[in-house]
Amino acid sequence: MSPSSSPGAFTVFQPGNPDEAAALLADRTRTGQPLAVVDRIPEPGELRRDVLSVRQWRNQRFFHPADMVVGVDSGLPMAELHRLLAEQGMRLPVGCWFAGDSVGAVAAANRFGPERLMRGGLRDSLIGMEYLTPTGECVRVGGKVVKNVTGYDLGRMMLGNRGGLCLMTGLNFKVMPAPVQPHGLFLSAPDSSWRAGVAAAHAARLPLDWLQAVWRDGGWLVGIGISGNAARRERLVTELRSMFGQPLTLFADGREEAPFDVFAPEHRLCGFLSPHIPLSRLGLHVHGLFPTRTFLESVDLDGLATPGDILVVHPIGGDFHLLAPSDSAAERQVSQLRDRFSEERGSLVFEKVPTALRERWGRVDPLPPERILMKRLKRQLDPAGILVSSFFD
Amino acid sequence: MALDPRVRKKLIRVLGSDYVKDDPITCYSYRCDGLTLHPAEPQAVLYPADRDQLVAAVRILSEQGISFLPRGAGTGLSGGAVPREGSVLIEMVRFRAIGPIDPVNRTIEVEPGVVNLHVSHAAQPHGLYFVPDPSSQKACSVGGNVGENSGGPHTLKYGVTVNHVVGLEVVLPDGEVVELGGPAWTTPGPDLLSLFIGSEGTLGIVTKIICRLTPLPERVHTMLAVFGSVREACESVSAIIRAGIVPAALEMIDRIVIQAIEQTIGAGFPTDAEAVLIVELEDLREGLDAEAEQIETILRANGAVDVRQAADEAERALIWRARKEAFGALGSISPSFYTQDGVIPRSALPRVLERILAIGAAHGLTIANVFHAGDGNLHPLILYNSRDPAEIEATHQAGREILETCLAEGGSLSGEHGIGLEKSHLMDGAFDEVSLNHMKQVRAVFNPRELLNPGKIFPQPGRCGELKGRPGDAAAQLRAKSGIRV
Ligand SMILES: Cc1cc2nc3c(=O)[nH]c(=O)nc-3n(C[C@H](O)[C@H](O)[C@H](O)COP(=O)(O)OP(=O)(O)OC[C@H]3O[C@@H](n4cnc5c(N)ncnc54)[C@H](O)[C@@H]3O)c2cc1C
Repeated sequence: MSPSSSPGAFTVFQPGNPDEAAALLADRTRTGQPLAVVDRIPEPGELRRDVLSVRQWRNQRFFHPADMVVGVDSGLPMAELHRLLAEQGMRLPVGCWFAGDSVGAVAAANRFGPERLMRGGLRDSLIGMEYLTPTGECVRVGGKVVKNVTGYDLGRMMLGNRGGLCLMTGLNFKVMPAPVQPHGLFLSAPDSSWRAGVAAAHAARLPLDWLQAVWRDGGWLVGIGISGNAARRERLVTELRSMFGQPLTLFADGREEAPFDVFAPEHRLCGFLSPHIPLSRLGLHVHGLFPTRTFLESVDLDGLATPGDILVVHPIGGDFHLLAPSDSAAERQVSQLRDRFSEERGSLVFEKVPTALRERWGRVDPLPPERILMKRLKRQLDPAGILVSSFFD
Repeated sequence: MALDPRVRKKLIRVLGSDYVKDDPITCYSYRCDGLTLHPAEPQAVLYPADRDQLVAAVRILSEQGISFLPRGAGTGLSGGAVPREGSVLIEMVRFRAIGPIDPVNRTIEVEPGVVNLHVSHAAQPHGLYFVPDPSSQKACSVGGNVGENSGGPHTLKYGVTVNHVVGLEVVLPDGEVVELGGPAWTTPGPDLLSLFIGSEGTLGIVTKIICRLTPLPERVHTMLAVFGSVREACESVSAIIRAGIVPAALEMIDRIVIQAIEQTIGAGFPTDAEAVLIVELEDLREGLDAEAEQIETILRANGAVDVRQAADEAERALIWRARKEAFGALGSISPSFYTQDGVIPRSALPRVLERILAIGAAHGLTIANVFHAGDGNLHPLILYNSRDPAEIEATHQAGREILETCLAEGGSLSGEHGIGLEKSHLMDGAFDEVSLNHMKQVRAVFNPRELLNPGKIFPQPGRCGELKGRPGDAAAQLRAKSGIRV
């Protein structure tokens, strides 16, 4: 097996298969040497400890469109999984956040996206998981069928564990047919007055496929996904136009492609993050998870981001991502977020902030009430602290 | 075995004398839930009124090292709420508060004793409903739904309980109160909420549930497709999904069950049909008619001899009454039957249903089928004569072979009824030792002394032999697992 590279004093392990990874973990447990599971291999200067990456595991394990199930290696890029599904007219409701994100990385952070409002997140699609424990034992839970209540749902539990409880090696999902004739409606606005339209569509219980608002370059771009036959779409377009009271531009989408990727770059809502702010240059990334009411009624979304930043909001469901290319104003921005959201029930996750801020606030603010249970779980499943994850610090 | 007088006194001080019962009649009445295969009387039954009372009672039991378990409405079909001999049963029926509802967030807070259907009733004025709809929904509690991660006919498109609960308040076995999830729909960190949903009351006792509500569809279109063979009905199910349509419900009923339904409910199902499929579509008016036409074409192309459309809400309600009361109706043609619950990949339906019939034939037993075809979630109902010990033994054997078939097809032991006591001895066929041990390690975080609902989910030494070795007892037990009418 690897160590494939050894920049500086630290080692990057890239095991060729789960057995090699299991042997590595068992060895680490024996010697008490921790390591961190990473999706991307850090630049040499960024390495702070030994790391383990499984990006080289990229196999499709099974895909039965008629049974609506797929199973893949955790290192498979999310975008590749989407391509694979799209070939058979199927879809997973969670896309890739950053170009190249692996399925395991998206699962370890328990991400969701613009389709959240109707179709949920990864949690709602996961049906089975294979993972390695910190001692290198291979656990298989759930299964390959769409409905299953056999034993504890440890697969779902592992979603969001951020590499601190296990090394995911394989994930199985329930997938759904892609929307028929997907279309997107777009609106540009200088301020967040679009919220009134979203609130009206939400109150009218319109069946929207996806919804996302992005603040960039001093203005908002709001996208709404609809689908179905012409009559259905026409009705939705008419109602949405009257609710927003602002011009909404309609774009048709190619059937076999993911709804967000087909639009011209200037209208793209998803998959746009890395071209605009390359990950290596990302200085600040804060993820906020709050109730729908927070986004539609209570918190003023304008002025949260400064020029050069990107603010992505999924108002129904609901979360936001604030991404800034530099961390120079991070202190002020994070304080502002904490002030503005302090009365709301939810959490701010500091995905990427300067170390000094992280040390002051930890990774999540406020800490979720179940945090204490999560730490107990960590102590039980990884008593030697082999899998390093700042989430459990 | 009655309570130790000192413990009883302490419990009465907390709950009041009317709510601590250890008389023989009460204990006898709580000896089983919907599964009567393994009856055992509790040491006592407690009826706490609220969380503080529950915490105080749990602390007393925990200090004394007395095991205990929560019970909702007792409709569970895998024995999750059956006490182990000597456990104290905690009846959650007094946790009945509904609300507040938040229509913007699409959430409602309920206590665990609330009846499933009442959640949708409370949400209806806001145009919302609670998706999980077990056939027992007029009786079962939301706490029980969380305990079992229950499903129902309408979970094909929208998912099961775990997909519709965003927060829980839980009392751990030592009396500690914790909150999992919340109104934000997601909390950072490992998804403990998902772990607790479906944990069959073995990790904590749920005292509050934040349910996620779903918009009521603008229009519903219900069809009944009639088939001359089970195979054609099964193939239609796959053909519909292959066409990229996921109906809200896709349920199959075979000839034996149709006949039982007609004898009891009289839903107008054709008694000469080998199978009927209930297909339900939901959407905006504009989307629905074209989809319904497409489905009718698929059904006919796959052998449907008739496709009927429910003309109005009354016709639709009758179809669903027939489906949801089908288990009970079966009692009219066989006094005893044993309900199985297993899952297979949907595309294997034709093959597996034939195999199930063959298993029945090999054992000289009739097996009826009414199930969630869209999910591949089978409910074979094995009809048997409870006075014939050999037939009872054969029934057990057939049930086991059916589940082994499900596993061999890449399926699972349970789609919605849970493992409980009933299938714990089969768990080592579904998971390897490492995986089962890891589950136990996780249980130890929350329930380290196994005081909460012991003896469930995991294989217990000796249980397999117990099942096989006592056909006489099994006769009485199996007889009782028949046609519970709700
Ligand atoms: C006729 C009939 C039809 C059915 N149809 C379906 C169906 O379509 N789909 C389906 O999924 N099920 C079905 N069931 C099974 C059953 O109704 C469900 O499992 C239901 O959710 C059980 O709810 P209950 O309130 O009766 O729970 P109980 O049977 O009382 O308990 C079930 C489990 O949950 C635990 N529990 C109860 N309350 C709590 C609590 N507050 N905190 C933690 N754990 C708790 C118990 O300890 C037990 O392990 C059916 C049953 C019958 C009799």
